[in-house]
Amino acid sequence: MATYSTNEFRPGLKVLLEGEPCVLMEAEFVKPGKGQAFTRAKFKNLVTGRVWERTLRSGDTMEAADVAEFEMEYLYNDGYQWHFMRTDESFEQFAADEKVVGEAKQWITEQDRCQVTLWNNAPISVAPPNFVNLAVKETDAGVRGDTAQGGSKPAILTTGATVRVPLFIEVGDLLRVDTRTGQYVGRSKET
Amino acid sequence: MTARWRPSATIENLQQRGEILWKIREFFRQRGICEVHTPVVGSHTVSDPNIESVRLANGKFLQTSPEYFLKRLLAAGMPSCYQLGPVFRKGETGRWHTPEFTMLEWYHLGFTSSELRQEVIDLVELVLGPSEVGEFTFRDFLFQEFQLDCFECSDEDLLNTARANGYSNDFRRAEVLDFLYSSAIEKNRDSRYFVLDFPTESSALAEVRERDGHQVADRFELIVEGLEIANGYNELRDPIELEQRMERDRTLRKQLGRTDVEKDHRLIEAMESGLPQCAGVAVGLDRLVAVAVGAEIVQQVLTFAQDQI
Repeated sequence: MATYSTNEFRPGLKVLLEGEPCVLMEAEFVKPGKGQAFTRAKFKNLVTGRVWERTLRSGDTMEAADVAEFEMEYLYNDGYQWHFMRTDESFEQFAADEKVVGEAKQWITEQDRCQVTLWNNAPISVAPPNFVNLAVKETDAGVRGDTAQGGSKPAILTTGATVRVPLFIEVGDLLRVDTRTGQYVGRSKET
Repeated sequence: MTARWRPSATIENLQQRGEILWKIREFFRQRGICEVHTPVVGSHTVSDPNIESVRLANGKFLQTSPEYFLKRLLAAGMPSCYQLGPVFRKGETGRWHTPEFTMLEWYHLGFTSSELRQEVIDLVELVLGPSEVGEFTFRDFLFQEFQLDCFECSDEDLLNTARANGYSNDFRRAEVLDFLYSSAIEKNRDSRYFVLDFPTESSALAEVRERDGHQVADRFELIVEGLEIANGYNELRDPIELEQRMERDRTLRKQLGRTDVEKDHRLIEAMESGLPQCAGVAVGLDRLVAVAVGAEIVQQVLTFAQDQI
């Protein structure tokens, strides 16, 4: 297995920390004039998303994590797993369970192109497209002039996600949503 | 996007740097301290276990500081002198570290470490303007940050305090102290201060003396805006003690899996012949310039930083 020395640390490096795949966010070389050199590093756990800080001895090595990110098309959900297919020529398929799909499940619909992260060839996280177009399944009929909620109301989308929308939005409208913030961007012209 | 051929520093920063160098040389001329140039390549190098030297294909070393050569000059009758030039340390790369950097090192004959501290203040004020300069012993410095007396507490307390502050290695006393010291510097918000009377583990080539019932190294560091700017000693003059420390360093290097460094017998012989009583200090010139111009990383005051050469 490949290893990286602290001298090779660059943001974006994928390593194993306590057996878990992490991405190196930042590293700072610290050395007192006459003392031991350290590397203070911040890692993001790719499975849990949690940030870990560690102080390593400079020159220490860490095992590289076999992590790769691919664009994949979301195919279908069979009731307990979500199925994806690589968009390159390989057509290789992967199944991810609910824990792995996480937040993405409230945004994605069939044929959406997602970023799927694989560790040792198994999915560990799924990032939905930054923008998705989803139809409104349920929302109250808006009362014009009612600004108690700042002129907005909740709308439930076909995937189950809830977003705040302007009062004029009706059931069946197609919305454009930013999945990173969970916010309504506008009405979509696409179908 | 910066073109690959362009310098790392702005032209303005380089002009300010030139102005500072001129002031520094004038400072030493007024005090009768002579500029010398010793070789950048030597057949020996520093034994300090925490400093790695760059070894050339012919087996010689790029010097990590002019210390050994300057002391040989002093033993030969050279009066107070300084060197301002490049030094090299393998593997040191970061926002405030670069494998080649500029060191200003000087030795003042007959000075105590406290007299030399005043001279360092004078030089720094010349470059940065006046400001209050605090002074802490290493022991007090750690105590005010961690409420821990590092000279009296158990190894376990020391390790637990380090762990609570992000230390994740096993216990080695010198390393844990280095870690706590670095952390304390990061936490301290004072603009300029000295830390002195270091643990004997990091005495390097400083005299050891007794303070409050403990042996300490008569050594100081100046911290400016959170950066270590200067490191000075009341210089060790005993050749037997020098040889013992070099041996101790070699043993430690072996334990730490570092490359072996042969003893520099020319330095030992120079001390046998007699090094006059003196205090010496090394100043990280690039960092001092960086503080003066308000740079965020040291590379902003270098003509061409490592990734541009």
